[in-house]
Amino acid sequence: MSIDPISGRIPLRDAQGVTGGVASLRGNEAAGQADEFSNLIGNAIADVAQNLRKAEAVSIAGIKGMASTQDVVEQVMQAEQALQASIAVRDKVVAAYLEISRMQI
Amino acid sequence: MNDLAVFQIGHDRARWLAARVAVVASNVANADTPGYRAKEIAPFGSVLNEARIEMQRSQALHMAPEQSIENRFGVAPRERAVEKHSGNSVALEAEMAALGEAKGQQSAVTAVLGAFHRMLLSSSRG
Amino acid sequence: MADDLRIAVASSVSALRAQSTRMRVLSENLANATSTASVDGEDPYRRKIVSFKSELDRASGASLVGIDAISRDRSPFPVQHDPGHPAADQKGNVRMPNVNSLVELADMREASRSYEANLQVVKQAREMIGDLVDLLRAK
Repeated sequence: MSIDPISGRIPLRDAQGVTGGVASLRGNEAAGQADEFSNLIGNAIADVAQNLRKAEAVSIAGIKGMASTQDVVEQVMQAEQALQASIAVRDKVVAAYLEISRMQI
Repeated sequence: MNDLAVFQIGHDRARWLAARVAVVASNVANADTPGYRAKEIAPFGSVLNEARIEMQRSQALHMAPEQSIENRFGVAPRERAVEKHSGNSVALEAEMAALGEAKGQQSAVTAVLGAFHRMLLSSSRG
Repeated sequence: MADDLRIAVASSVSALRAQSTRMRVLSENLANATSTASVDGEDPYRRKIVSFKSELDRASGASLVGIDAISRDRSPFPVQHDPGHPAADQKGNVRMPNVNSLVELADMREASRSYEANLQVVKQAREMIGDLVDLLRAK
């Protein structure tokens, strides 16, 4: 799942996956769509985790004098951006869930 | 890496500028070494550079063995270098000019990288 | 991955040391420009010469500069006619140090220029490292 970094918009196909997944939790197809939904979140989390691990590895190397300042800066900036984007995704997911749970009544 | 090209290009540029400063430093340090010839880094946009930049990006995380600036960017003898009687061809003025230029360009690149980074972080928060 | 800015600083720092030594030797020559022997038969002060060399530090890739050797200038001692001098020979001639102050002063100016240039490189390179690190500081 990708999030447009400037507008904060999630492409339509991914957004439908999110809201579709949440909306059909009650239905029989809930199992399949809930999986798809959690996969989306899982992938986003995995990306962030991977970026954080990379940034950590390079930072440690940098402290040991084995990586350049340039490399450390680049990786840490990337990890920061990915983390911030994933927080935005989480917030949107939560907002969508709340929206839909209000509708169920 | 996010989708904005400015980060890729900005970091590549900063890497090249650092290498340029290292070459200038070598020239200035060796201004009195007999037989030393002033060197110059290959221009940023050269085709050879791009292949090397690609290689660098993939190597950055693998802690590959040290690659010299010659291998990573390409180095050539400085044009219009005048040889002194000692065989040394370093001209301090030319080197200091190159240093000032590299420093100024790097300031601009880091300012741009910083600005876009802040924009990304604040827009994601919105 | 090589940290080129730090390599630049390492090169310049090595050159600062070398140029310092050069200036020290030049000062010594200047101070002894008229240091004759005290008795006939002894040599006056013989000019010292500094030669540079450079080495590639394999670990970092930095070009490190150093003093190859401090040797003695083998050119002949100039002779002055000064019969009253303690070191005068039978003909009344005194051998003077083979130091030309004008040459040493010119060298000293060059060494000083090189020193300042290396200092500039250290300063600028360190500022560039600082600019990069600033990208990670709290906004």
